Amino acid sequence: MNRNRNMLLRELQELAFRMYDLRLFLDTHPCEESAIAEYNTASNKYNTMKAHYEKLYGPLTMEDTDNMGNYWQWVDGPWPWEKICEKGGQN
Amino acid sequence: MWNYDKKLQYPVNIKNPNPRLAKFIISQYGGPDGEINASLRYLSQRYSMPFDVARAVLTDIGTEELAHLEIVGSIIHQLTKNCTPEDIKKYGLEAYYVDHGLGVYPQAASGVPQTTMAIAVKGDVLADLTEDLAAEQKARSTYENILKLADEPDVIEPIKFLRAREIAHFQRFGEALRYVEDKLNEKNKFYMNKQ
Repeated sequence: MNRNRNMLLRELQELAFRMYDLRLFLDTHPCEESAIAEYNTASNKYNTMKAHYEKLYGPLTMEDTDNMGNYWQWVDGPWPWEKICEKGGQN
Repeated sequence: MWNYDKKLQYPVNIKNPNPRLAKFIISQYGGPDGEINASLRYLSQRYSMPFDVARAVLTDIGTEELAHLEIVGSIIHQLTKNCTPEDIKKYGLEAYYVDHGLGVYPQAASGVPQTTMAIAVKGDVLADLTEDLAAEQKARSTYENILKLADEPDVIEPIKFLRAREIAHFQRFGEALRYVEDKLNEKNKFYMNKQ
């Protein structure tokens, strides 16, 4: 995986985690408006970042993503449990 | 229903394979207090849970545990990747290897396969949420045992994350239990399922 891809993925992971943590908080504090606002801000940023990542590196989810071209990109690696190498490609 | 997001919740990149660590970390994959048992417990408790707040907590934490299962599986996989039979013998992994090769099999470090006997679904609001509090402490304790035994920074980082999540989950279940107790006190404390 190249360095740029890895960095972008890392940012997405951090933001997605922040959203999930907020989500759990809101599950037990459903009337906390400031938390909801924070969640929405993070969610917007995430959607933009995700779309950008997927354009470059292929889909992270298929439910809300079109397949580009006539090849089913979903099958492509690397898959999440693979080691991240400095050099590109699967090891 | 569930969708799959093609990224780990927390990155796992283990530069040096180390089967010795895999031998005990596997307990958080298929052991009594491991992630699949946590997920199965919470996702199963949802159906008889009458309060929306608790249903949301059980659903969302149950789902997050699946993401954690994946992290632990990735750790096991990377620790044993490309291991030779010599490595297997050196680290005493023959018993596992003969049945599972370098695959990731849901079992405890003791070799006992994953068992649902280690979890409870009582269909009782107070029992189930109290069980969940205990479950999170057991998982936290297991991760702490792993941290005492592991010495690889690449392994320690994701394990510390997973341990911190157990503490956060404990907090949420505590809040859900208090919420439910308040609701029950509005009527009567010893709520019975009207089945």
